[in-house]
Amino acid sequence: METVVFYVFAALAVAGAIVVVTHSNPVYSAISLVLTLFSTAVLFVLLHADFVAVVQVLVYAGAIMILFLFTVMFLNIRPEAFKFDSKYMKFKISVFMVLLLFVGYFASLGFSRGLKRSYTESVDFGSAKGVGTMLFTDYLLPFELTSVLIVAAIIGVVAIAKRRDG
Amino acid sequence: MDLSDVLKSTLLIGPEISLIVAGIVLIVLGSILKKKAGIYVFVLALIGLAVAFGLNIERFGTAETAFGGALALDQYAAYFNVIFLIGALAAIVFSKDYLSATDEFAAEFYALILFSTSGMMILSSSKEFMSLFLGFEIMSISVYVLSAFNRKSARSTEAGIKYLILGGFSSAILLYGIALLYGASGSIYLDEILKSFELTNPLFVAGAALVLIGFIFKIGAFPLHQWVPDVYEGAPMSVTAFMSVGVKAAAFAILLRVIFESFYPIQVSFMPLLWVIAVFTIIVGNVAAIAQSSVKRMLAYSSIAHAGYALIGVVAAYGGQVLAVSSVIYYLFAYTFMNLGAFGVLTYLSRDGKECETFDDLSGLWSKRPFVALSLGIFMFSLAGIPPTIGFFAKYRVFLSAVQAEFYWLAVIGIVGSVISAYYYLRVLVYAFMRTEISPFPSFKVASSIALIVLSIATVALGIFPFDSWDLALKAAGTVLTAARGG
Repeated sequence: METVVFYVFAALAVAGAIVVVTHSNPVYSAISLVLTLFSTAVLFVLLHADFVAVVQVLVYAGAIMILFLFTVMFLNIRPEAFKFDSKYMKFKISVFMVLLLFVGYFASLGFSRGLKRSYTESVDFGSAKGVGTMLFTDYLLPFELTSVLIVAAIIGVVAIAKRRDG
Repeated sequence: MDLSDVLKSTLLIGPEISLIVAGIVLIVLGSILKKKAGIYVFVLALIGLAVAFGLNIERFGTAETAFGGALALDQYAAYFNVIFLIGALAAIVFSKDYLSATDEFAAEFYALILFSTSGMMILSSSKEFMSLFLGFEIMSISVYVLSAFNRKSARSTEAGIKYLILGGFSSAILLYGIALLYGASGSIYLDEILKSFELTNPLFVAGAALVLIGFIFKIGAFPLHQWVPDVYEGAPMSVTAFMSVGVKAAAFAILLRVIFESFYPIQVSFMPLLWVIAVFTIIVGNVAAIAQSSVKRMLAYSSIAHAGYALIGVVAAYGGQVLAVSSVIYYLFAYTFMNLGAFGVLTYLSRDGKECETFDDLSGLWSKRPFVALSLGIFMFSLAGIPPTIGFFAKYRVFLSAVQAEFYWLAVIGIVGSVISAYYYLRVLVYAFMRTEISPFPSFKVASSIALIVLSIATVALGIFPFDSWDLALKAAGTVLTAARGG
């Protein structure tokens, strides 16, 4: 059962990703990215990381995608804007990206030999309980510092954006 | 970590909390009082700093850790915190006269300085990469905003955007380095990483290199110094004073701590690299400073050169030399007074919307404002490293530590650099003392005058009698080196 679910959603994630890069209309690309993110969230559930899955849906598929769509629609980018002047440009970019992928792959092979431990954590890891416990005991200080950071950023944005007169 | 630990740790980080609380109260007060907030928020910001300063003094002589070893509240951090708090205090005092009296956003301005200072204090005491990164970002984000605070000026906005984008890249590089180190050691604690450090493991080497690049950017050393002149020149004058002192000292604080508490085994391979960086930083900073027609930009390049002098001490500390580490700490302490003073004089002479920037703006200062001219003279002599100022003794100790560590060429290049620097520092004084007035000077400012008097007295007095400042720097250096000696 789990294997079937895994393959279905893994295939959906990859299919979504392919549409993201191939579709000429950025709005469709953005919406198919939602599909990819949503399918990845299901994969997280399969790993018993339900908290990560919920956050994935809420933050990425929810908030961040809305921001993407909003920007795309706001800027009103036409599909023609994505046409390349030279027809070889697309080919060159693809070759470059594939090479980059290979470099990254081999670098990660080299690096992974140096990895200290395997990352199979306890069943609790990634669940709401596990994350909550760690957040409010071992990582209380970073958690609180993050709130200070966000306050500083918000105040900064308001202070700069509101200074119209000056 | 249970509840009693949390409570105990929270009480221990009183200085940081008092700054954050003061910052938040400031904003609430500012939004209630609006344009009448000016003096109230100023006083409140000073109270916040005073409380933090008092609580920080208690940290000398103790060595507590808080939050399960995430923060080390030791003498080393306490010494650097004094530097940050002096920087914040002077920046707030200079800003009071610099911001227009009815500025609606004075509260936000002071609050961001307080937040940034609390970030620096977290940074100097962090023993774990997650609080380190958050401290680093609290400090940086507040300073990005402060650089762009002068919306009237296109250059201030440009400075803010430039600093934000480049700083964002450097933070990303730092974070990537931290991720690699975590992958290699399975821990984000500096001491755990030190224990499991393997020179043959590419993950450690790459991670350490990326982390150091992140710090070198904030220091403004040679290959990553391009942003310094533009940002320092464009930012409001009092912000430039604050970041040239605070951000630089914070980056050095964490650089030294990370080198000696975590990357100690890899020193052998990156010290030659730091040697090259130090040399080029001194040369580039000094040579470019000569050619400047703006005093503010000249001071920006000179701050690059000063970062280079401090790096001499970092190189000389190779192998864990206490004297060399303490010379770096003392150099940053000395630099705080003289550089705050130099930027303070320029802030004093700026009037509504027009900054005192060119050499001509200083012409005839001696005949019209003799005391300001005198203090400018003291700061310039100190920056050039002429006795009996604090700048001379700080430089002397750094060069001495280079000689003791047998880095003779480094000392020679440092001395040649400071001889070159005497030319452009004294050129400022030629204009201030020997030319006649070109444009009228602004009227007398009470708060800034007091700050300038205190800073100039400190610059001379600490040069003649270092009191405890040098001994405390020695002790601070000892604290940060214990891990290296044990391992």
